[in-house]
Amino acid sequence: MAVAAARVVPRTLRTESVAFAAMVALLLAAPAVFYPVFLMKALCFALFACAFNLLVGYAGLLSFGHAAFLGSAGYASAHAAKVWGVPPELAILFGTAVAAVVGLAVGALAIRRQGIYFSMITLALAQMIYFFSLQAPFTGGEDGIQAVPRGRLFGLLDLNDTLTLYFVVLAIFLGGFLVIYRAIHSPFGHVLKAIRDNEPRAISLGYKADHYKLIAFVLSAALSGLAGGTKALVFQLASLTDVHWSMSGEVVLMTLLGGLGTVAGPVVGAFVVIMLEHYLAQLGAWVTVVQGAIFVVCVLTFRRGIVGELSRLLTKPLRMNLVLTVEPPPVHRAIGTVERAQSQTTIKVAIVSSASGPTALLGLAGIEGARIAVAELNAAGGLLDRRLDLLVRDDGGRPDVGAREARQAIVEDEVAAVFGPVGSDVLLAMSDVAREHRTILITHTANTERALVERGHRYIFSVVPNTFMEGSAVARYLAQRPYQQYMVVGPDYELGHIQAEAFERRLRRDNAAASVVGRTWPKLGERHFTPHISAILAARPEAVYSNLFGSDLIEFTRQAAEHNLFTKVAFAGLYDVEALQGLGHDAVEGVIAYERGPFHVIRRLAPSERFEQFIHAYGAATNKYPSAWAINAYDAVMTWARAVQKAGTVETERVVDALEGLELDSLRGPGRFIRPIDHQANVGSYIGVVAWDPSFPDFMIWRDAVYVPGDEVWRPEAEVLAVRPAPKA
Amino acid sequence: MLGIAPQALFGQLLIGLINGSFYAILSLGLAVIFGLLNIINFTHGAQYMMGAFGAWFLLQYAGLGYWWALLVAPLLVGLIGVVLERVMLKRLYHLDHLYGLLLTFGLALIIQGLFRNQFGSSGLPYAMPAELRGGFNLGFMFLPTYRAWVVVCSLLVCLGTWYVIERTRLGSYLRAATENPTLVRAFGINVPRMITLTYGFGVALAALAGVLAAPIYQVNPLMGADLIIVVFAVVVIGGMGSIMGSIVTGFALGVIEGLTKVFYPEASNTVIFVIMALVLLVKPAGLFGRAH
Repeated sequence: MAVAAARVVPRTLRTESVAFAAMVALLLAAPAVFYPVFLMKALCFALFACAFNLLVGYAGLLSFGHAAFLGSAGYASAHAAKVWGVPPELAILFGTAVAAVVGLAVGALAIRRQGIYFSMITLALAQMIYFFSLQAPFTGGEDGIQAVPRGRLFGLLDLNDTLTLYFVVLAIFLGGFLVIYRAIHSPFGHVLKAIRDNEPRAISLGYKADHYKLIAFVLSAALSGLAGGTKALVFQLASLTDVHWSMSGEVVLMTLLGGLGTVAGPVVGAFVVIMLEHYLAQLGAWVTVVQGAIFVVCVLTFRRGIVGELSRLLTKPLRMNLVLTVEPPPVHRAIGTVERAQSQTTIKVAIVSSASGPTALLGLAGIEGARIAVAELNAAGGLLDRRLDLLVRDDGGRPDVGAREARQAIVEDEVAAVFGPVGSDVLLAMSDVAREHRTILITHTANTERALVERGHRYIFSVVPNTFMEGSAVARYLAQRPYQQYMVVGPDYELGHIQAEAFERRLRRDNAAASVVGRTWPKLGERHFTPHISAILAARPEAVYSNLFGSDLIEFTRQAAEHNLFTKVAFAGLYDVEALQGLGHDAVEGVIAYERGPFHVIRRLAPSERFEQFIHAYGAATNKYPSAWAINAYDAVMTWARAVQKAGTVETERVVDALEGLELDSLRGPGRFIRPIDHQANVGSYIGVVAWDPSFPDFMIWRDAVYVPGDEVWRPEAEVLAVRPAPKA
Repeated sequence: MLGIAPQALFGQLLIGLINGSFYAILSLGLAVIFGLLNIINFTHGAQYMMGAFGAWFLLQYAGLGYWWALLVAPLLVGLIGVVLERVMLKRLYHLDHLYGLLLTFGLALIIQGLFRNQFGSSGLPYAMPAELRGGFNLGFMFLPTYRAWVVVCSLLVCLGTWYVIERTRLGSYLRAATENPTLVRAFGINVPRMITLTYGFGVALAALAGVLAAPIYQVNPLMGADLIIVVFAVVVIGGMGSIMGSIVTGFALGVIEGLTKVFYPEASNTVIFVIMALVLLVKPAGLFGRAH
């Protein structure tokens, strides 16, 4: 098959050994110059790309589903290390074995077709594994498996030491690389190439082509698994990102760019792509555009890839030309020292939130809120007479990216505190980083109670009502109404269920006559709500509690209106400012709404000149009214600043002490305190009735709004104590 | 019936038919393109999304409503497809087919990335045309008018395409060019132009599906990204050899997926892939495919 555009002529073993030795020497010295976590990531991907290249370059099989092997091995290794507590070498081996088994199943099916069909089948089967990972109980769903212990290799080497870990990863990479090199140059490899170039002829010579293809497929899957298992231990995380089709596309990109069918190409390609992504991470969806553009350029004009073209230019085939892979460092140590010198005059903080991805609307609002807070502080002379710098980092809605960005902000930029994110899964991943590096993390949008209770620690704080409080607040409000038969509708993932549990618990406490007659769980991102609406109508409840949000709520509302649901039952939903603006004239007058900070209610309940200025500043920057996401992010920054002033320093331990019990510096009004026991502020929920108001002709706001204070609905201290790890060591 | 509420059963059947409508139009477009160009058009999902955005743009900036969009958006997106074919795809015909897959995958990433930069990842609402609002109460279920329209419209489009390709003179040229382009050229037929127009037509079909989808799903830059993978599985199951095969497989798999949601919801995301695996075991060329 013509895919292997850059065919190579064997060189003497001696030249190859020299090139290989040079690569090893370069990689051994690299941590002196480059950030080791970056290097480890690149090495994992380089091994992954080499394994992929074995299949496409030497067997002519373009798999578009290789993420399945990387990801399933990641889950297997993470599960083995975390749940079974096995040592790291066994965890990685187990992951490799699982990937090999998955590879055997996928490969046996896929090699039944050739060419384009083979690619489509691998893509489809990998998508099946993605959905399986999304739903299976042991993968942790959207959260992934977090805080995977690295352990001690062979009981001797402590892998929590970054440099030790780096050399172990390097050894694994070199081992995998040599296995592939050996396979390509063995008789087995020559038969593979013969099949690639002319399958009917190879068969007529007596070779069982399918047999060879399957062995190559399983070997490639197993080595991808080796990369995936190692990556899970390095990042201490196994997540859906690694099983998603975009990861399958990325490995194709790395190999194509480096050079299909060259030994060194995938390594070069992996380093270049990882570096590009690192630099472009701030630009959100532009990363995808750049990746796509590289695909197009490579296919149209650069089919040999970097290594292939270089070999051609130098007329001699440089199969092992790793010496030429010199990447500028992502974060240069020398730059770091310059920044350290500057940090005497400025204080840095970071907001790590979603500037791209499905929750970008919420993330960008928060980022703008934080920006306004920092601008106000600087305008008033800074903090402790020092200027405040806000670094903005995009998590793309992904836990692994959020953790990485938080870690880099803390380690390299030495920020004093981190704010963010939107997703609860991202929060849990970032929270582990904050604990590890003893840095303050204040959440203002993500609100899973687990982050503060089961997995709470000294450095995480929350200035939003958490899931428990939000569910309970609505129940407390509805319990005073005459309804007895309730139905629950919520997104089918952890957050929806937890919040609904809190709702039901409080409802039973406050209204003994009330009962929940049914629950229905549309999946996140559902677009057909008819079955769920039918289920609600069939159960004949008097009232419905919904914790659908964002575009799901908007779509549900439109479809439910078509079925006249709102004329038949009372309905309570998360109709925040964004949702009501999104619905416009399709919003339903008279339904009950709740949220965390509607500007139109705060304006009446806690009017202040400062809040009007905030609305004005936010409008000037975005041309929109501020949502709760913006208001709460502003509060998070201001509250941290108040704690710093009280402590007289940015030193973490003293600021944490100052934050415990501190009153928030909040746009939402005075009287909001951080409870020392779980670091949750007693911020409450706003509840009202959706209605038109003459001041807002384009979208509805609320009437009859009330505020349910946080301390009336939060989890009792005794219960928190029973679950939360001891607050102070 | 089996303890399942009839509303839920018929509701899911209807959803299955609607999903099947989209599978059918999209896999039909893929099959038409593959037949003549030997390229698997990975950009198909992005072009479906562009159709939906086309409808939204037309309404927002030109004041043209749904019915106009149904005509104009596929034409515009089809025209963009024609340009892509002329500028890029035609340079790959002498290479391995896999390069076509890689190029169209790259194009899909670019298009989806650009739209995400401009419009974010949350959907934009597109209102249903007034004529198709509301619905009928059939006694056993509520049938929203618009959803019934989607099923009928896609059936008409699919059968129309089948008729043109299998029963007209133009279609016979097309089929002949699929078999032996050199010979057809020798008869004085402009095959390169036919290839270009075929790609444009296949792309226009994807865009039409996008316009139909706009009022149901929100208009979203990523609306075609996952869908295209399911459509690939549909194509593998049906085999790309037969136009009617694509249509029947599309609708049938939509319905099966809908029924799975009623009886075993955990498997509803994966059922099509499982069926694909089973078909590959029993009949590797696909249900309607020709073994080579």
